[in-house]
Amino acid sequence: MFEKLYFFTKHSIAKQYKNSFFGSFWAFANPIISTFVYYLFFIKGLRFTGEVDGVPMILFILSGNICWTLLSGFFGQSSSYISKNKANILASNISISFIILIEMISSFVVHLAVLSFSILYFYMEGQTISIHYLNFFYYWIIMFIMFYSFSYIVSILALIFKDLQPLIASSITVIFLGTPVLWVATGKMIIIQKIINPFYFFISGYRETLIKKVYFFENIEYDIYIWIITLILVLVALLIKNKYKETLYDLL
Amino acid sequence: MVFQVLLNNFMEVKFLSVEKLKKNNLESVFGFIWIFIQPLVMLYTLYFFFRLGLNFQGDVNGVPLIVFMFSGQLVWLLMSSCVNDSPLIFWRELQLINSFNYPISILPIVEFLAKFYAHVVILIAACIIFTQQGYPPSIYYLNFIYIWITLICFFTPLMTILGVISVYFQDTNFIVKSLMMPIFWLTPVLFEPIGNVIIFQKLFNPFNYFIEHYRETIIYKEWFFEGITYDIYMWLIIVVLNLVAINIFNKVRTNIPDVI
Repeated sequence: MFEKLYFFTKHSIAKQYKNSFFGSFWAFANPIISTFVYYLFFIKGLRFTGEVDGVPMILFILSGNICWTLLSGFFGQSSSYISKNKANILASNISISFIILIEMISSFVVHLAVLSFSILYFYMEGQTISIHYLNFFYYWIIMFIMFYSFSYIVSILALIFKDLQPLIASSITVIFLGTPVLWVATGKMIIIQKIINPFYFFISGYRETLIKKVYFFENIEYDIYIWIITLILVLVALLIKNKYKETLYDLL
Repeated sequence: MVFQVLLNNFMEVKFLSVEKLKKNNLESVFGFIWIFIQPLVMLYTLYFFFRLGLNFQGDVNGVPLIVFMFSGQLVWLLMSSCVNDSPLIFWRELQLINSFNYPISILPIVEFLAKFYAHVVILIAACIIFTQQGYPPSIYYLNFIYIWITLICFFTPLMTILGVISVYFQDTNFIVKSLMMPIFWLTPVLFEPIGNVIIFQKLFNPFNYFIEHYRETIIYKEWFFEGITYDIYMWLIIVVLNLVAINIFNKVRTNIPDVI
């Protein structure tokens, strides 16, 4: 199983690289370039100065933005996993769950490279590298379970509702601006974000790990809430899986 | 280039662009309403991003935030959708290009006009918001005629160039889409440039020209010729761009159907 996974992931990354050199370059460079662009926007455009939340603005943006790039990749592609690999699914006996996993791992590998680069940058800016970085493993596990189930649901539904794919694509910008990636949530806004916006969990988690150095279990109610949401998503995914088990190939 | 093409194929351009507009907007579920919804959602998302997210209170030098943002965003939406779709203009009309002796040179104009009609509709609707906020339409709106001519003269050759490049170099689509994101944040759509930034924008960012003129017309009530040096500079760029487009296009026009 793991050998197969390794093989296909390698293949998938190699294919991306071969198809578009710029694409692979951009996957790595995008979070870094966009961080710099936002920084310029705030400094030169809006003429903001100084620190955000006690750290230099560039570090604040970078910590949220690397996480957001990964999440928006998962979210934005979620509806197209099946339709993109239609030929593969029909020709060989690869299961859908496998395909989603491979695609997610390919984006994740790029994220790891970006994250290492960012940690290096944080270190150069005088932030210490700490044991708190172990938090990341916790966030990655939830992230994978959550977006895996979500992708499963959405990619099957997208075969039935053709409007789903463009809807998700156009909602990304709205979610981006509504999630505290470039701004700080304070007061009531924190509660609103916690309740309605699962993306906030990961963004704030990354910030707490990289900047504030807080362990993930120090705010346990929020974790429990997120785990409940994740479990619901898993259940819905299982339901959908059972329901479309037989008819899936007709849908394709 | 624009005028040459327009004069030769006036009827076709008119017919095809109207058809295109219908195809773009009337086939989807929301139909005509979609033209309004998209910019309105974008506008209000950005508005709340500033008000609630960045905690920005008050106005931009005496201009209500919403008027300031919308006047820039209106024309930005037109420009960005032109640029974003330009790599595909030849690819999408594959059938047309192959089927008969189709004048492919008119495709960029057709694409531009289809988007432009929708833009005018939004602009008229936006006037309601502007009037409500105390910026009613005025005699200065005559500027728009000049700005629109400039827009079409600038974007048709640009779209032609990008379209031709993407015929030979398929990454173009992805590159253009990726670059539009940084360009959006660094173009004064959401902020007012001052000092050095103004000069930098004027020299290197042609999008700034149109946004500035929209703001001058809607908000500041100035005639387009009041900053004449900038206009002359812009027209020089437009002439160069047109020459480049004509050159490239003449070289490859016979090749395009084969390559595709």
